[in-house]
Amino acid sequence: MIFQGLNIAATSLKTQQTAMDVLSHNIANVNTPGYSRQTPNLVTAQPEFVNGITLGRGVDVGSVSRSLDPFISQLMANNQAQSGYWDTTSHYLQSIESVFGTLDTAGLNSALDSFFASWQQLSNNPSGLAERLSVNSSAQALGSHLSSMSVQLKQAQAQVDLDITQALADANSILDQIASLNGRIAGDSTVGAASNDLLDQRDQLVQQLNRILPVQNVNASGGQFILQSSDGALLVQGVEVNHLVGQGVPGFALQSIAVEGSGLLALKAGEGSLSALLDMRDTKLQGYNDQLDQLASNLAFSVNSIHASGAGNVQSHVFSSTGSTPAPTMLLSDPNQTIPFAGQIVNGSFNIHVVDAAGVPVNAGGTPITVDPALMSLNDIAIAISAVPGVTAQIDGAGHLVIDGGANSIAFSGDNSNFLAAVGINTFFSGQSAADIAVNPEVIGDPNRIATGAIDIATSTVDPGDNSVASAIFRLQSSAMTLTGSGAMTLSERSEKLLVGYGNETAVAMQQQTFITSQSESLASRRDAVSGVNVDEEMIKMIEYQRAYQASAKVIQTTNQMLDSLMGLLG
Amino acid sequence: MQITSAQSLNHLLSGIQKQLHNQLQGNEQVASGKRFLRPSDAPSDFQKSISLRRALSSLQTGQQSIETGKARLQSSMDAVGQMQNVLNRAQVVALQMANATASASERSAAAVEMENLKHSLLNLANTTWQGDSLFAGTATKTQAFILDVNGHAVYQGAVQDRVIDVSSTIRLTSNVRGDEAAFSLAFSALENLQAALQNNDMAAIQAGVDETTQAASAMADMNAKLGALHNVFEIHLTVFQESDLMLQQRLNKHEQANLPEVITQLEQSSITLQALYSQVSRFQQLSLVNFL
Repeated sequence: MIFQGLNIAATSLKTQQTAMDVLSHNIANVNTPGYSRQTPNLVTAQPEFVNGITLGRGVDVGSVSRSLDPFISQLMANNQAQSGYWDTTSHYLQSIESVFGTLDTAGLNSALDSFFASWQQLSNNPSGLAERLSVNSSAQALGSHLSSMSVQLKQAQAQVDLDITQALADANSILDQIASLNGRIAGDSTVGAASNDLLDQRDQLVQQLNRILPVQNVNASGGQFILQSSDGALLVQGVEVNHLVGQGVPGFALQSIAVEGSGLLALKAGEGSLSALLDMRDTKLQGYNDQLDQLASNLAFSVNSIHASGAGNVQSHVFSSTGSTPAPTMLLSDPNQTIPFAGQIVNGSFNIHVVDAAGVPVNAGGTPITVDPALMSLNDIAIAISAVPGVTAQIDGAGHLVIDGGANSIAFSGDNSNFLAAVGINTFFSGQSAADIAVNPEVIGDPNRIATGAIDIATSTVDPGDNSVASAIFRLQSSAMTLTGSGAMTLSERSEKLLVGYGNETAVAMQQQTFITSQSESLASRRDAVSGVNVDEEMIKMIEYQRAYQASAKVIQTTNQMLDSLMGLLG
Repeated sequence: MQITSAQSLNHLLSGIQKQLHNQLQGNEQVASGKRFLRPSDAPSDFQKSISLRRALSSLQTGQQSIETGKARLQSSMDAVGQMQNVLNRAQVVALQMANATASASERSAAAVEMENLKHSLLNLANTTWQGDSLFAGTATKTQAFILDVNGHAVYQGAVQDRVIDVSSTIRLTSNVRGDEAAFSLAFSALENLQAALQNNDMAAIQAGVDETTQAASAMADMNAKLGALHNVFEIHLTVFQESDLMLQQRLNKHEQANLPEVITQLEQSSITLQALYSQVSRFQQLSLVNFL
């Protein structure tokens, strides 16, 4: 019996020691992210029935459980998904802030205002060289600004594309780690041990994964761990993993995301950094670029439409189109036509005026050239122009229309077909998008070619003081326009819409980020309240286990003395 | 519910981050003097700012345009004023020569003076300003008048007026053309008077007096028209200048940061930050570990 007392004290020593091990593990992991405080559950040892009475046989550590609130874990998972989305969105929108400028820097609006102000000044002095140079430089500055914005946005898109690839790699790596942990947890469970640390690690990985794309944990029969995407695609089942893959289309490395064996993944809007990256690349950045392109194309075409029917200070002998056709005999209305604004060409005509070296009109009143885009090609137009005495027209090797008057000068008027503006004859701008809009090289080379007045039908010349064309271009500043037939607005309104749209989206993203971060902090605090390690509490428990250990050691010492007494009696 | 040290420290850290963010924003406002700088700071205010700045820019270029128009009209008025002097002189000569006491040789000499006066009038009608003909309409590089083979002044300018774009909606005429009746009356009067004096024709000289009177009156009317056009520019200039001032004030009021308020908030934030730092430094003392 006396030895039973020793055994009971021994169980206590061993149990208190084990409890100290758990406590020590808690303190060691006080700063480990995702660690759940573990508690040794002490239970009495199996009692024995001796001499008609049931006697206890000491204490044992029944299990070590972790303190966890699954509800808070689920809330944190949802929060991580939103946090991933808004952190990513806010980060990228703020990173492109320099593209749109500030009040202190000369931005797109300032460049547009300067452009139209220069046309106003030219209108007030059409023959002034300084005013013409000013129009050239302000137009080049505006073109450079648009081009620079477009390039920066496209670079941002390319960067987001790379980040999507990285996010997929990160997600797949996490999935592999989860599957590996599933195997180890299942192995430990078969021998009866609860792998609290492995469970914590897996929970932490699931939280990380939620940040990339929202997932849901399904508890299958047999305790198997199943992870699904929010639209039900299977990602992990036990040790089996279905990776995320990207499916590419021209223009971008990845267009859409799919799950191996399940097809396309429907990403939940507003959750996960992957959803944010795709939204950033395909909606926001692409949207900004599209708006810039619309502004550039409306600017180029509207200015060119007026400019093409005007004339400058100097008699011009040769005109070469800025646009080109892939095939001279291709119809103007052909869907494969590469002439920049071919879609804007309508049935109509324009007049061509030819004046000889002595200033006498060769074709008094001008010759109308009929345009029918459904029936005519660029070559047909060239043939029609060549039929006018004193001028020849042909398509050069690069597909450009070249009109040559030789010793005669040429001018144009009354284009109601949009042909001249579309193909780029006597135009101010070349290009049709933010990336390629530029001042016509012919105008840069000779500012006197900037058209400021309209041709007099009788004399086929333009008065140097005639500012009708320059004035009309200046007044485009307050003209609502559209190339697509809907959504007409002024160029300034387009620019403002782009800037304010970006501003609103960024402000919303930042506000949401602040709110979600605050929510994250609150949830983290609540999790800490349940699962965190309070060092002071562990210290007190340490004292308890220490005292129990000391008491049990005292029992052993006393029992030993009792044995000595007994042995003394026998000796 | 237990409280862990991590919770307390995270709360303090979060507070520090918030106050540092407030400091950053406040310092930015103080440095720039503006309530907002970026589209994301205040989107609708930013849009309003851009609109106000555009309107200001239009007013400023509009004022420059008005000054151009005014200067052109002023030069025109100066030239027409001198033309009036020429006609007045012609009137005086005509009156003198209409007197029966004037001799044929005196009238012959007066005819020569009349020829000179006609050339003076021609030069004045062909006045240029900044290299452009004032009275030739939009044919600014063309002389408004030339003498034909018979010595008569012929208008060869354009029929279009020179128009100034004051704004995208306001276009003002800034000239009178040589095909106005006043010019033809003036030249006709001098030419007829010259012929009458050469021919020693009393009746024609008398008629010439009436013609010069009529021409001088028409010239005065034309000068008044120029004056009226000039006034229109002046009125617009006054409106633009007043609008410019008002818009400047509105823009400043709209964009400017309330510096006393910002600095007060910075002070408060600074005090809070100091309190947070103090709490963090004291935190490690508040642990059971220190007492065991």
